[in-house]
Amino acid sequence: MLVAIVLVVPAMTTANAQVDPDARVRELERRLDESLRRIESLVDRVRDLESRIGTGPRPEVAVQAPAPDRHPLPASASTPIDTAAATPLAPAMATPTSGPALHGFADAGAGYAGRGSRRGFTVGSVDFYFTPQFGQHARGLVELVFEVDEHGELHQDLERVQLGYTFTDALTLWGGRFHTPVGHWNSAFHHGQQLQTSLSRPRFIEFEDRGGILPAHLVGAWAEGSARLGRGRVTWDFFAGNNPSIAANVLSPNVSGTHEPGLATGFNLGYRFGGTAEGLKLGIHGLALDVRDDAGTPSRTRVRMAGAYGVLDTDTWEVIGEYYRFANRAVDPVDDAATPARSSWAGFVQAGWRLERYTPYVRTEKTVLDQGDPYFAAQASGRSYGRNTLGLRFDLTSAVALKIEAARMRPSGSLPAFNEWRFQYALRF
Amino acid sequence: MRCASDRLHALAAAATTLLMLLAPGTARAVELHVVAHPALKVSADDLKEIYLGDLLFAGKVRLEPLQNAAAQRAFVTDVLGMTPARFETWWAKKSFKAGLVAPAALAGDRETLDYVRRTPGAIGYVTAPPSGVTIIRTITLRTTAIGETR
Repeated sequence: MLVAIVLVVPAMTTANAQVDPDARVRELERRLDESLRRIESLVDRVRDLESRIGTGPRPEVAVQAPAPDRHPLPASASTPIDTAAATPLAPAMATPTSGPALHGFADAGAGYAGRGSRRGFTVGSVDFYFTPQFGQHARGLVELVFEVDEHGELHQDLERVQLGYTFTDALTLWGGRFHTPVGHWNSAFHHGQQLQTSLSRPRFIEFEDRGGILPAHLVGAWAEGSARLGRGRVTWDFFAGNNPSIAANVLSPNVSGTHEPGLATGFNLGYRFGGTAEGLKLGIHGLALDVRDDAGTPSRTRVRMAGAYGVLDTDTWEVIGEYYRFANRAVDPVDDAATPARSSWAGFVQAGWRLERYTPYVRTEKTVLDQGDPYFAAQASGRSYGRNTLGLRFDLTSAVALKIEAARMRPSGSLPAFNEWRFQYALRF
Repeated sequence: MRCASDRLHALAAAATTLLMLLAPGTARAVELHVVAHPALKVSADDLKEIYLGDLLFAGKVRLEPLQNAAAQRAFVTDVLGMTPARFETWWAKKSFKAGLVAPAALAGDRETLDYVRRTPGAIGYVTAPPSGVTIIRTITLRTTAIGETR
């Protein structure tokens, strides 16, 4: 209001005082010409000073990318910008921010998972990763995780060490340890607790030492790329690495090789829709492993997995579904003869409804795992189960989330069902 | 006393409204120009893929999209068709999964133009009519800011 008064009152006063408008315009033009002459004089003076002190590069004026919503559109200048000619004081060597910025995730919370389980407050994990860029084609991705296990012991893990070279948009080759690119969840979220809508992962795609039945990591080589097709993009991944083995009832990714590692191979082909179906991605995936285990009677299993997945990720909805079908054969260690294939499957569907800062979500997951299959029988987590989950996520900011989740777990066989609840505070930086 | 104050406020409000209605340019169109290095061959259809990290090369030249902090929200909303929060989350996921780096930000039009002019793969956007660069696309935005300089 005061601003309006300040604008209105002087304007009225000035209007009354004007006797000859033309004279006033002439006076203003004179003052403008005088100002321009002074500016030109100053410009010449600055150029002269610059030429005396040399023409070396100026300090960088890079700024960190701000949150866009904090910067409304400014008033636009109506004259062409020509930094070279008109603005000698402008930073001539402005350079955007670059370098291996450090990012990461952290979480803490509380939980309860049935009778006899540990309960109370928990420290989750702290994840650091950085993405150094080496020129136009080479880049890296290094991720280090610190986490506390269920016994309260701290573990550190060199989660990913990837060195890559991008030939074209359609081909990037990576070498090192990477997240196995099957399905969507494992490579999209992994330790990024703040990125995933829900608090928990579907159990069967958990990390190897937390109940997962698939290798969440591989050490080897990975080719990935994408290309435009129609209004969307086709994406592809082909990878090969050390076969995992089973040690003490847990999958081990054999990060430093084994005596007979063999080669695990797999693929992931997807199509990300554009246009009116933007946000939808559908894909198929496959994995071939040759897994040895150190059970009482050592065995070897040819694991063959094929499946499909779909993701809908829009401003309003997030729906993720993944399906894995197994046809595994036990292999005789002496004559290499294989038994008939044993069939198993696992899958989940999760749906979240984004309501501004609140996202309620539900998930159902189920596994039907043949216990005559040595691959599942040898794993501590290789039993069939079903679980239904209901949760609520609240985004304090775009980088900080609170989540609360309740689930009903139904193990197969005679084991009783039990309830789980968890609370989490997750952030990214 | 309070009554007089209320009248004064009402008068000021009326005067402000009148000024907004009569003064030309209080709510006027603003143009956003998406610009590229003169040697770069990209089309307006490529912009979204470039800014989302799906398109990394134009021929053999590595693309270098830039954010202009002074017009970032308008660009993300009107050109990319995304909310700023969604754009930010997209890049958090992209960086974590693919090891790419989100478009770097420069402070304003002058810095953006300066960088685009001297960097072969650079693409940026400015709110003032540019020179010395290739204009890939110009879109008209609407702003309701009061008191803009005409």
